[in-house]
Order: sequence, then structure tokens, then C-alpha cells
Amino acid sequence: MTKAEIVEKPGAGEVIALRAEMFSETPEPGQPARLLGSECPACGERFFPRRKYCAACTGGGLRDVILGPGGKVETYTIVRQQLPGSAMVPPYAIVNVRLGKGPTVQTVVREGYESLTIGQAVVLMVEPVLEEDGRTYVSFVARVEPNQQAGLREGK
Amino acid sequence: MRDVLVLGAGLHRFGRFPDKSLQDLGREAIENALADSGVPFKEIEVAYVGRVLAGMGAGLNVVSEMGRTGIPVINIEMACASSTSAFREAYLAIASGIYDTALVVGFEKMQRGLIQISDQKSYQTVMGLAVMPAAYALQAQRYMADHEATPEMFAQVSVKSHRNGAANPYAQYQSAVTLEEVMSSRMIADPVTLLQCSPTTDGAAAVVLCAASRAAHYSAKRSIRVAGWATGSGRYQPQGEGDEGEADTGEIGRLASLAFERAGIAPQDVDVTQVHDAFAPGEIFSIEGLGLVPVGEGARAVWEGRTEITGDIPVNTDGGLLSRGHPIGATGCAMVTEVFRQLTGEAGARQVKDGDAKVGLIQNAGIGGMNILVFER
Repeated sequence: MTKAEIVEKPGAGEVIALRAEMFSETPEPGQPARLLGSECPACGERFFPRRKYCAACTGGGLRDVILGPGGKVETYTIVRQQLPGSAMVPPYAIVNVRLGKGPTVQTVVREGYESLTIGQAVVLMVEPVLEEDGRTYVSFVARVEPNQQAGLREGK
Repeated sequence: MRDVLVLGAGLHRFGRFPDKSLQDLGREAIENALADSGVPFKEIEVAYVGRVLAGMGAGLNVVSEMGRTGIPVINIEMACASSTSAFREAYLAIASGIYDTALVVGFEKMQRGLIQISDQKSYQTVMGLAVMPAAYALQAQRYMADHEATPEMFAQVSVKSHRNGAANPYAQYQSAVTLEEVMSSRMIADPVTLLQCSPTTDGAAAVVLCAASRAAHYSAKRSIRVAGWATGSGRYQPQGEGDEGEADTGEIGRLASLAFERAGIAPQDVDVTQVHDAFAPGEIFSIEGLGLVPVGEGARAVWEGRTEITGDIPVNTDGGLLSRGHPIGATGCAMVTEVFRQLTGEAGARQVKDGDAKVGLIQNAGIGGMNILVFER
């Protein structure tokens, strides 16, 4: 879905979710992100974003589940080349973040990515990701937990 | 099901050809494949075409360069695995007895730069996630955390591929590079550097298939047999299965087992292999997934030279996607072409096993699925 489809009549100065259906409540910049996912009542598998049928067992009747904001880094890489059309300016990290018993979501780390390690705890936060035509678009990004980051640095 | 043979294969050189049309590229590959097979175009009963970026009806636009005989021309798209998908359809059509002869063609003309895998306005693009090399880099980072591997071992894949490409007159890149050059080239997504990324490419490849029972009708003096195959679309792997986030070889392994079972062989019977090295770490993940080496030992196998032309498990002998080039619709057919040359002892400076290679294996992956093919001389 493109962002143009999310907002019917956006006005200047508005704060808009890049993809509103990803959140369980209206996302507020600077607040922890609460994501809206699905859980299969038959096999227990969890998904993000939401889906109608279970990818694992094909069962229906999936129920909504609120995910995040805390998770652990499964893997990461630091992107050094600009992707055409992207609001992210390199360098930044792409991280796969495992949320509890699942699922794993993919997002970016824009600050403190130098100290990222596999297994590290991160928190998903709502942040502005794109300014366009006087509007601010927000989404969820991962933040390195400040105490963790400090601890790792001292450790080194 | 009937036995099906590959009677001939042909390429248009891979590279950048801004002054040539898709028709120019495709026609030359088809001419070469037909001449190699001894089958005249008027005897071809069906054509399957792998292509991604060309517009509607591109298959007929290219195939009809050879004449308008009215045969079905079927366009197939499975991203980077399009022309092995086209090959599979051709194989099944002949094996089932519907046709005796088929032409498979793959072609592409591509722009420079990062391949656009998602719409410019999509969430994945705006958020900077639709970065193709990052998909391999994420797996590579996890691989290094889980196994004894270094960035140099991934880079060595590219050193080996470029050396093989230098012996392939159809390759996009025909010059060797050093480990130092690969390591010091621009970092794209850690640990993947520029020289560990396959280029965008213009090119075409074609192969001619024939029912074994009909092959004597033509003048081809040699052939290889389609011995096994498997196709899948990426089965969902539940979160609880396996170690969290471990480099995923599950889907390759599942499909390889199926293809080996159909062929009645085991991984250790394979003499030469072509894998999907869109980015250098891919070779390591693929040889593990295919069962050519145990999981966790792929990086060391590359580092110790086991995947070289002279090694015990030669991989991507024509330079692979990294050096031969990766015109996405043509890549799968180029893999078949190289296996054909290797199993018929016609690979020249790239020949493995002193010309005595009997079994060839292909793994071609794309967004949307994967094909495994097994061939026997």
C-alpha cells in the first residue's frame, strides 16, 4: 500500500502514520510502538503485519494481538548505499527484531547502530521517518536501549 | 513420464549492450542453441520464455524473430528464477508426452544500479528496507555469529567467481580480482562489498529440449538428460522451529532432497554445481542447503578452494551471477548452458573433473520461488 492511500485528505502540519494499520492505537511520536499483529488460534503462530489466514497451518479466524515494544536483535546489517525513493539516509542499520515468542519484524536503527550486537535488547519506538509536502509521516523504528548501549561501551 | 534430453544450448554474451534490442539478444541466443542442437526452428513445437522486466508479450516478440510458425509461446515470470521455471514447464510438457521438442529462452535488459525490488512509494522502499544486498548481508552477519567464518571467506567467493569468469568468453566480467580488491571495494551492506554484488546485465540464453525417443531424428552428437527437479515457493517456517534466526537453509534443503530423490542420486554424486550467488554469501548458504557440505562448513570449504574448478565440489564454473552477470530472466538458462558444456566435456579452460563430469546440479532462486534441477550425461 502506498502512503497516499492511507490518508484521505491530508493537510499541512499533520502527523500521519506511514501505515496506520500496523499500529494498535494512533501512534504518537516519541512513544513506544504497539504493533497490531495476528495470532493463529489453532497453532499459536504469530504474524506481523496482520493476516487473514495462518501462513503455517492455513487455519482461519486469526485474532488480533498487540506486539512490542521490546525485542531482541536476531541479525543486523549497516546499509551504506542510498536506496532510490527511500527516506532513510545511509548509513543506517536494518535489524531483524524478534518480539517475544515471535514474530520477527524488520525495521531500521538510525542512531547508535555502531554498537549493535546479535542478541541485544532493543525497543520499538514511534518516530518521524518522512517529511513530505509539509506533513510528517511516522513509523516504528528500533532504538538501542540506552543503558544497554552504555553498558556495552563500558564493557569494551 | 518420458525421458527428456537437452540437445543444445546457446548464449548471447552477457554485458551491457545499449545499442541492441531484446530481439537482437534473444535471436542470437536462439540461433546458437538451435545450431548446437541440430533442431531446426520449424521443428520446435512450443516455446517457454523466462523474462521479468520486458513488457507484455515480450516472448513472442523475440521468438517470432525466427519465424511465425504459430506455436504456443508462453511467458513465465518468477523473478531471478524465471528461465529455470520456463525450463521446468518445457520439461514437463515433453515428459508428459504432449510435445516432442521445446525451446526455452531467457532474456533481459537492465538498468545500472541497485535493482528495484519494491515499488518506489512502497513502505519497504520508504523505510529503506528493500535493499537486496542487505537480505544476504543479514544472513551473513548471523552466519558469522553462529559459525567460524570471517568477511574474507565471503569475499573469496567473488575472487573465485571472477577467476572463472575470466575463462568464459560469454561473461560480463572477464578479469580476475584479488581478495584485497574485493575487501577494499565500497561497502554496500556489511559485510557485503561492491565486488560481492552481482551486476545488472543485458543478455540472453536458450536451450533446446527433446524427447529421448525423438532425439535420434536430429543430428546432435551429444546430449544430457533431465534427471531430477524440484520447485517451491518458500514454505513458511514456524518461529519455534530450529534455532532462532539461524541462517535459513531449510527451503533449499527441502527442495534439494526432493530433486535428488527424483534423480535417484545423493549430493556426493554431483560433479559440478551452479548456484544462485546474486551476492557472494549466497554460494556458501546454497552449498550447505544443497547438502554438498555440512551446515556451518560452507565458508571454510570456499576458503580452502573446494568450490574452485579444480576442487572436489566445483561451483559456478562460468563465473556465476557475480561475474558471468545476472540478466534476471536469462540467468537460469545460462546455468543450464554451463552444466551442458561441463557434462558434454566442452567447457574448455573451465572444464571440471578432466572432462569426466557425469552429474550436474542447479539451484536458481528468485523472489517468488526456487528451482532445483539435476542433469546426467
